[in-house]
Amino acid sequence: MNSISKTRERLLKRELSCAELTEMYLAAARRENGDLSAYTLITDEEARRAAAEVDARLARGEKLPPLAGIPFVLKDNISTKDIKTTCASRMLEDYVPIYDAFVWSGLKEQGAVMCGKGNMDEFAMGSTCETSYFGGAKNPHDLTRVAGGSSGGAASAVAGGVAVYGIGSDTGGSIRQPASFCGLVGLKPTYGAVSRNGLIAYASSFDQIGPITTCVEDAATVFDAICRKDPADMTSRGAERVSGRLHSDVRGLRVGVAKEFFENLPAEIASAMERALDFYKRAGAELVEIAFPMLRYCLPVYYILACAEASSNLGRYDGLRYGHRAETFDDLDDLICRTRSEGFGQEVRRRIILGTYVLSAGYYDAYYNKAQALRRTIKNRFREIFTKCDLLLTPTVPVTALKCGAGLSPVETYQTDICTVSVNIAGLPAVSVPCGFDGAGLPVGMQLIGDKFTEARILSAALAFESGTGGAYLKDSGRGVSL
Amino acid sequence: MVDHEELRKLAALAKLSLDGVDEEALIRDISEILEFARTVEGAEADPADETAMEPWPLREDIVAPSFDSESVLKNAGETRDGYYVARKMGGPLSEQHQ
Amino acid sequence: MVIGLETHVELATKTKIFCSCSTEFGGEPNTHCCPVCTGQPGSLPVMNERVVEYAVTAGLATNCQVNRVSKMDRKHYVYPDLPKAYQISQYDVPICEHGYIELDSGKKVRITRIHMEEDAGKLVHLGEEILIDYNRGGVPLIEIVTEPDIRSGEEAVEYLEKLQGIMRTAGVSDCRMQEGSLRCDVNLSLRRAGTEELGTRTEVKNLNSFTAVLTAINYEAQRQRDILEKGGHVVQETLHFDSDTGTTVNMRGKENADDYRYFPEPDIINIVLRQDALERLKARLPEMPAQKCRRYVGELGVAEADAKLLSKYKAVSDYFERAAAMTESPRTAAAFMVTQMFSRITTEAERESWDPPVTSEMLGELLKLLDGGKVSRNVAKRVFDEMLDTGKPCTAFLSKEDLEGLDEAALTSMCRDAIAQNEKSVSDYKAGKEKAIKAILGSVMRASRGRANAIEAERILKELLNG
Repeated sequence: MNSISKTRERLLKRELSCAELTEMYLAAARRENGDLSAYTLITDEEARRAAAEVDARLARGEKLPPLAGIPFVLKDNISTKDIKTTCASRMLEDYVPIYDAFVWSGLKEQGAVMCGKGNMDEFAMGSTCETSYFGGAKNPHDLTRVAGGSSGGAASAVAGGVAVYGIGSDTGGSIRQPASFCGLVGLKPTYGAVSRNGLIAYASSFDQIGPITTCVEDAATVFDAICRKDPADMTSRGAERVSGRLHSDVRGLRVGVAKEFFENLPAEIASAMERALDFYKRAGAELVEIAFPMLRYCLPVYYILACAEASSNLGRYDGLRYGHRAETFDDLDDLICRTRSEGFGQEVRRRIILGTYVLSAGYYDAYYNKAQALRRTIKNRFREIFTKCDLLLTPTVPVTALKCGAGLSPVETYQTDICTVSVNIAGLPAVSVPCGFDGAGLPVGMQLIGDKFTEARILSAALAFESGTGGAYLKDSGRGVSL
Repeated sequence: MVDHEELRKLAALAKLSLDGVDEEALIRDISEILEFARTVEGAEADPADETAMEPWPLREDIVAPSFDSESVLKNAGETRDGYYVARKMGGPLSEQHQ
Repeated sequence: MVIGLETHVELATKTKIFCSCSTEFGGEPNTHCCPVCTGQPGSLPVMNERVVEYAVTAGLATNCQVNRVSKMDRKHYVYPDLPKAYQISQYDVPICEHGYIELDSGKKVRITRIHMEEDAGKLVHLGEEILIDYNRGGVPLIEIVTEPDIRSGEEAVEYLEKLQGIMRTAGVSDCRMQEGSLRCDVNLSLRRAGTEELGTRTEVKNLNSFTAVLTAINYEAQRQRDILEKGGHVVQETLHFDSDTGTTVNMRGKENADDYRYFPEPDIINIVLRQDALERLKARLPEMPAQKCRRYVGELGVAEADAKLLSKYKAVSDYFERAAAMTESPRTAAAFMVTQMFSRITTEAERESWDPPVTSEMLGELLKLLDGGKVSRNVAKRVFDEMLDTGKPCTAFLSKEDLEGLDEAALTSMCRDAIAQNEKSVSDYKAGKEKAIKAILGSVMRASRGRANAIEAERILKELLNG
């Protein structure tokens, strides 16, 4: 695994051309994808185009933006003009967007080299990547285990050394959980920091795009490249860049510990958390006991609201303007129904039905309305919490990477999101950082949650841990490219 | 919690076909999820706060070039003379034609 | 009959409500489109500020209360003209509420609410195919809903005419039924005279003209009456007006009432209008036809019937006001316009665009002459007709002498002639009948072909007769 800065250094020193670097990654991607299923599409042509341009700019002696020439993976729910964007669904199997997502457009401008589109759970609905129409992405540390979801492909590619960094999306933990499973850093920015324009919507008031990287510094670099306000997204405010403001001094930092997040943890995860807390204490931080009784309502609130929005956002897939279209049907209504049933997988159909239920007359008040009221309540509780501490430290996931085909029931799967969803409910920033291994050597992640627009603070705390522990929790999968 | 009739109504609203679907399994799953969702009933919510809302700047009424119709129609399964096409009656392989 | 109207008014903004595509009418199919208005995956709505302005203006012009904080909601239903399978509209917090439009009778038709929403695309049914054009998709609409205060087809039409006048004067919409910028659905039920209880109501759609509204209302009321008289029950349903037969028919195949599953639109932050912005819109609100009419009658002395016509069309009232400013008698200006111009400019379209061959300045010039007694009213009327025929100013039809009027010597001479020719009147006058002088004056006026200044002439006659 290579970091952005290390790769950039090689390029700037002209130790290798961008074209050469790109070919290495493309070849590695091809080689490994059979095992990893990290990519739904490897975009050779686009990557080579970008690489050539970077080399030309280097030749002209131009100063290059931080991400120029660095090969990366873009989750396949982010629209790329003229390049297939499938959301890992049969519904969009052959769909080619006519416009670029804001984030992709910005990255292109900065000379980013896209190696391919990242595999994911279908329409970002899932926590293992297994709902992907193309088969789930595998964990590079153990191919019998999942990479996580829904940004499983991006995490797999980065941990598998076939992309230097990844861009994923996070609605209930979809960046942080795969990062945790694969031993990577995953940042979900504050809601509104990054534009959702072009991100194929799952749950509009929860979705946010963010980086999956091998180290904290890289997460900051990528965040800075994508956090501009976009007039085409009314919910986007943009955010201040963080790179210049990162530091590793945690003296006096108030680290909140809410016991509700630590209930029933497997021993190995519990001890990794203990060690992390201990690290911060020794480094001069103050541990503050926090109560967060609302945690037990976070999962149902999340699933009610997210499924409601999802059922609405996915209504447009009827085969008339784009996407899959049924070939046999009796009438227009049947055309639409068959198209949708053929195009969507089981989990997506389940969530659509659930969302339709909670929005329907008769149930709206008890479910949707109540969940909205609780969402407001949870936001209020977090506001109070952040008057008492500077950030919260929690496990990212109460489990390590699940076995492929574990066959958990829907509710059992949803339960693994317990630590991550509260963050999306409140629109807060959170970063997952590797902090240990379980007995099988599988990565364990810890999560730092901050108040709105405090990315610099949580990344600094993460950086302190990463550098303070000497990169002990970085694990090279031994795959892919190493420079 | 959800019965067959309710499921059918939901599927109709959501425009999903139940052909070939294991309705029992789906009902079981949905009911389980709803049971889990229903826990919100017991929670107490804060009252709504009428805090002053910040006006959000809106878009100016200035025309920007539209996309050309070729790209707009690019991903459509069926088009004719610049229109999207929906079909009222059976598709090419539908039983009606056989 | 108890009637409520739901009208959709297309706002005359340059761009659509949620994207910057042009709202221009016509064009090849799907050429005014983008990812937002065709509901492409990943697209997001961006609210047009002018839509909010116009919606608020429409509310102010109809005496509504404006909700400074309102929100958008998603209304879900499936139909090929709706690309997202939901329409972004407003559900429980519309932008304006509780207004009214006053009819001539003084009756106020209450407006329950006005809300903003996006229009759907256009469908062309071609046999087995449905062709879809999204050019119209996303065009901004306001929906104006009345309480069931209307009691007849005539009242309904009057309401619509008044609404039209208000929207046009406010500058927010062309409001033309034939072009689709004003659409109307009728909700009608019958109520036994003297009772409070409302009957079952039906909704009638597909009304494309005021005539259609009138016909449909009368037909539907009769249809319901027939059912009730036979002891039956009126079924609550949506009916389609067939303009060929003048009847209402059930829309076969239309789905049962949808569960719209409204919920707040997460892609749009609440619409918040600043107090100073609201004040600005209030200040900018142009005078509405009703106010104008009252002002013309009350302050300018215009006859009521004339005032009604002149205040109805903005271009006409602007024209009138310019001409009226040039004369001492706006009442005359009004009368001239109504009698002579309206008889030539007869269609609604022409009256709206009001582009006569004679400018208001030209009319004003003529009226000034009338004021100054340089021409008589009859002459002025004749000249005005000639001006309207040719587009030439009044000076083209009045000789130098006409304009200068007669000098005193010539006038005196005419007066002497008139005295000589009107012996009887002269002796009557000398005998004490003051009024007899009018007959002699009449002679002078005729002889001068109306050029003489009547007041001057009378003075001279009196001098001659008395002296």
